Amino acid sequence: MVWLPIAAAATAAIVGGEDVYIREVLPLLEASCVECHGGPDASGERARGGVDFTAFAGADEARTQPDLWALVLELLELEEMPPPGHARPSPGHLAAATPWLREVARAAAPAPQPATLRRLNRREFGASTRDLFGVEPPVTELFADDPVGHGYDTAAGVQSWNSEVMESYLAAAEYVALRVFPADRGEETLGRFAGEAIRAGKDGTRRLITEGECKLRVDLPVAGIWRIRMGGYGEQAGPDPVNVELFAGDHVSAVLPLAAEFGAPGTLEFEARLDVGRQRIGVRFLNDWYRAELEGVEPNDRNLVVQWLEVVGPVGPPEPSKLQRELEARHGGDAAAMLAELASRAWRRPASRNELLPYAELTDGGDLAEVLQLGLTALLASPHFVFVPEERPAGADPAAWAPVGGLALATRLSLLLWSSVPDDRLLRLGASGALTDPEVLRAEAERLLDDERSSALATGFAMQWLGLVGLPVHRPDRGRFPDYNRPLARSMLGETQRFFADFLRRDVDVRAFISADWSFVDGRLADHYGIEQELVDSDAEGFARVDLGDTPRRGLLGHASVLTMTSDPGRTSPVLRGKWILENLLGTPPPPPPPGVGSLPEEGPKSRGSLRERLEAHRADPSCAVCHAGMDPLGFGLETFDGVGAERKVHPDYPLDVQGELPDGSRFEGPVELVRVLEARPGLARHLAQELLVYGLGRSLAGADRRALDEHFPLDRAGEPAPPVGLRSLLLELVGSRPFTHFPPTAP
Amino acid sequence: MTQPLDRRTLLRGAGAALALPWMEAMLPALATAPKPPVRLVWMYVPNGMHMESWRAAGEGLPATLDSLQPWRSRVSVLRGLSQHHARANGDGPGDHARAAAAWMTGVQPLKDDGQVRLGVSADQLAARAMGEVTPLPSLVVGCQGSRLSGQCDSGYACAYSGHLSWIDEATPAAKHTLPDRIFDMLFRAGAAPGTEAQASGQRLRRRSVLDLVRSEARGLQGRLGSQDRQRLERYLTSVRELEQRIASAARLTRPDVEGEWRSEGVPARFGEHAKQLADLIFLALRTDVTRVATFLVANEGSNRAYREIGAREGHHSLSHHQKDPAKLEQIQAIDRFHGGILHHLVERLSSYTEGDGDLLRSTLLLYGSGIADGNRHNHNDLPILLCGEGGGAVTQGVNRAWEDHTPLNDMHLAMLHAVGLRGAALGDGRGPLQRL
Repeated sequence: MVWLPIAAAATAAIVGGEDVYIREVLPLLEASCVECHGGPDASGERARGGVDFTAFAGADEARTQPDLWALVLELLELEEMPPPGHARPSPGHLAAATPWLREVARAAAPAPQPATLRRLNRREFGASTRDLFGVEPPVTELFADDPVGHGYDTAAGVQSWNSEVMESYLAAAEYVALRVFPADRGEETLGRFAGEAIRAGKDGTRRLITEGECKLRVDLPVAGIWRIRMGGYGEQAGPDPVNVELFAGDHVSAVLPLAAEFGAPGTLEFEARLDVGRQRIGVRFLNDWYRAELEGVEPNDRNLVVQWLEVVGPVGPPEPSKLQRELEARHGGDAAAMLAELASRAWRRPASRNELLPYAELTDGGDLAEVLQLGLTALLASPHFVFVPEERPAGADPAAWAPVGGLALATRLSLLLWSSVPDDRLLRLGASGALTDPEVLRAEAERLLDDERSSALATGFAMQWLGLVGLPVHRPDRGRFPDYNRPLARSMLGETQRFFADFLRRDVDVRAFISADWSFVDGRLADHYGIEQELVDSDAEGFARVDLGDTPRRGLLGHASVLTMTSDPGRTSPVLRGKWILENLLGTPPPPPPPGVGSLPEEGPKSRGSLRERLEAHRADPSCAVCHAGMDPLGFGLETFDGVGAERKVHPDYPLDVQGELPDGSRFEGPVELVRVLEARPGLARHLAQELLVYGLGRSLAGADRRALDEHFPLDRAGEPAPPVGLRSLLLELVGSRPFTHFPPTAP
Repeated sequence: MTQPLDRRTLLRGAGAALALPWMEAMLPALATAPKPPVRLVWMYVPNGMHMESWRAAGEGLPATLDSLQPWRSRVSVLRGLSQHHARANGDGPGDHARAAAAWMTGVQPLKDDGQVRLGVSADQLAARAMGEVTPLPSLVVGCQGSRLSGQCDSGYACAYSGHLSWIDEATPAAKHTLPDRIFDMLFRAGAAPGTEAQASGQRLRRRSVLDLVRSEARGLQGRLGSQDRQRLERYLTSVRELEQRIASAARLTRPDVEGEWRSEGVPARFGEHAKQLADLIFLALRTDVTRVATFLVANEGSNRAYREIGAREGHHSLSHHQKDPAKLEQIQAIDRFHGGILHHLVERLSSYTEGDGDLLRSTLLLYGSGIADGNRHNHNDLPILLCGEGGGAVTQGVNRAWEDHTPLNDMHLAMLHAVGLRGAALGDGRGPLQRL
């Protein structure tokens, strides 16, 4: 290790050695850092995060930790340290220390390069085939849940690939191809439905004791004539046999008598021309008959017993799909030409002649539809469709930003705004390179945002940003919240999605996510909220905009979806709500609790003291107080709402307590005042921009990305609030920013 | 019209008449009963256990596993086994994610919420070695899906808390949660019910498709950077595996156990769901569709409230019991409840006769958690129970203790040794545990 001192000496020569550290760096550390990172005292309180700036004997020792100084530099530049609520370092101190920090940080290990070969996740796969071919496979059935990284299901770094994943993509590709190019394979049984599928009882049959239906939904792979069959018998009574009708889609059979009896079941059948896709099929019992007075004299109760339903078909050749007819109109019977067209759209770039050769060979013989179906399956299971390769140009300067090519940019844009692949126009602009012109890019972004496909931002991005993905499986305690059920949960999500979509459409200032005094509710949610205004101009699903000015509900913090997700099953959790505000809404997450900390017992008459008293006892421990003092009070401001987001005037166990006081001395009572405090906090637009970028690029942001974002979304300075930014404008600005249009530098 | 009987009634008696593949292969050559193959099962419950019960067990069973008394002579408590890489080792909080990640790998997981890096797990090593002879290399199941929003534990990617089984350092093995789907995969070669002609037509088409996409992946590889090439390499591996599976599906007929399964959807009750998964493990091992199974009863850190046994507070919250007697009591109740699922599987295995003994005799089943005391989050002297004799590899009914901090991986290596996998490298494992 002879070379070590020499290297150290060389560095020292450049930055001036011991003197510089003492003269230029220590003043900054002393003024701004050591209060918290100033070395262990008895309580361990003064070396937060294990960082102790007093531990270094001198410059040489300090220099042995380049990673630490790289982090210091980054956090200072991002103004993430000192943390909010502490004074900013003086510009003089900063300017003095920065050259030394830069120099030393250069020796830091480069961040590991995460995998970038992202694959279309299941949402994106489904939306893409829907947009390309008009067929959306049931992805939640065909695929396992996508892994989540950095909070989003787009993260390339956590995506893995194994044979089960491959099989899911293959099955989804088959599903689409079968529907786009229906091949004549004769009649097949689509399924025989019994048991659970027909809601059978313990004996395995479904008994209709009054007039009613036994029905289910099937997913027909092709349009054509389908045969609906039913097996079962009648519990015969009265003058007539059991009468039923079978139905499928809009078609209803004639009245069919079913004379069969227990022990000798019969079969009924009915044919109907049905469209491809989801169809309702079933059987209806028509002539219920019951005579109480005949009890014990003769059979007095007529019932229908259904044992199974079956769907067989298609009878005769299947009908071609709409897309197949269009392709045939364009290309005649030339299967190779059809596949070439589909390849370029699915692969989001012109497919080369070589690449298409194997597809042309496929078409050398065999039934046209079979060949096309096989070809399309391969196109969609192909790595060219499934993966989103983005390669930094090989010759580009590693220290500079390198532009993303037009085609890759087209895919970036459509994945961000649509969760889908580019349409023909966007692809054309990408292929010609026109898309790399900022004005064209902006115009295209506007066009994509105007398209209804941009609703993917509300269902895909917003649900993950706000941490609401788990709501459908969240189970509030039934005893405490008897009104909570699945339809209500669906309405809750409907509200938040419409609220977000409205921001996009009308370019509403993002700060209104915190303070809006309006929202969108359907009848169910209006009841839940106790809203009495009449719902006018409701959309197709019954949601209408309502004014909430005279209620305590403001912004997202008034949404039942958020209030439910941030509660424990049995009680509200001011801690979780406070954490949600800091983490999801404002992007300033508290650090995780130290190991071995307790949690609060279930509240109830037996537990000692109110929730606040117990939380305050907990905060008496200084290592808890550090974070909880800024977190719990926020949650108390929302105690107006119970564990499923309904307004409450009393708390079930102790007096309702909605006051909060933050470490900076600001006080509030109830949600409306809480919102006023939060509204004044800077940085929401910046936080949203970062989240959208992580979601859109499927990777975490590097320091270079963050610095580049500064130009577009300046961090607010104290006393100098940033101008309002509408959500739509924010997205347009983001799309034009360097992190979106370029690859970041790979070297410092 | 005959109605399928309740599945569980059928499972108890039926099946002995089925010829197993290994029997078919060996019967003509041997006059004496052939030795059944050894099967390996790992079963994990989250958040640690009530350790006082384990410490007090002495030569007996922990009180929380009372229900296993009928099999006392066929199970053993193993003390002193530890998972060093579940500890922070400088990575800060995140004991739950690490506990699951390290349990079967003995590797420290990369701490990042947007990237995963771990190592191959014991069951997947076994699957690689034994998977050639059975239709499926392994069966990985659990009651909970893996998707949870955001990071799952203090900055770790969610993949860790929800997966014990890792094919390689970046690839968790798919975990299956839906009983009907698992049945399809095991016994209907993944296809929904249909005719053999339908199935073979699909196999033929898939083969052509896989051919096409393989050459495309190879073509793409040249254009990518090294990280991305690795990812594409996994794509190619998966293509190869599917091709093998298709070939074996055409060659091996799956045992017909249709009569023993009635589709019921996912049971609403957690305990029922878990028992169905145990049933499927039993069925898969019994019919030799696979010889390796892993069962993650609930994801590590799960805060599920076990209302069915009157525990209204979440499991994770309770596990931070701070020695509160009321919480400790509920933890014991949850341990008993989990023990009931184990009981169910052990009962199933021991009720089926094969060779000179029963299926439990041919099996090594390792049951436990990657956290000892949920309140302390310690990962040494883990609660571990070994069930079954592994075809005679293990003498059962005797509790054993090793020096504290003995790697759990040495136990995994002993299990691999029992299926003939010698000299395997597995995380921090040193060599198969002796004195079993």
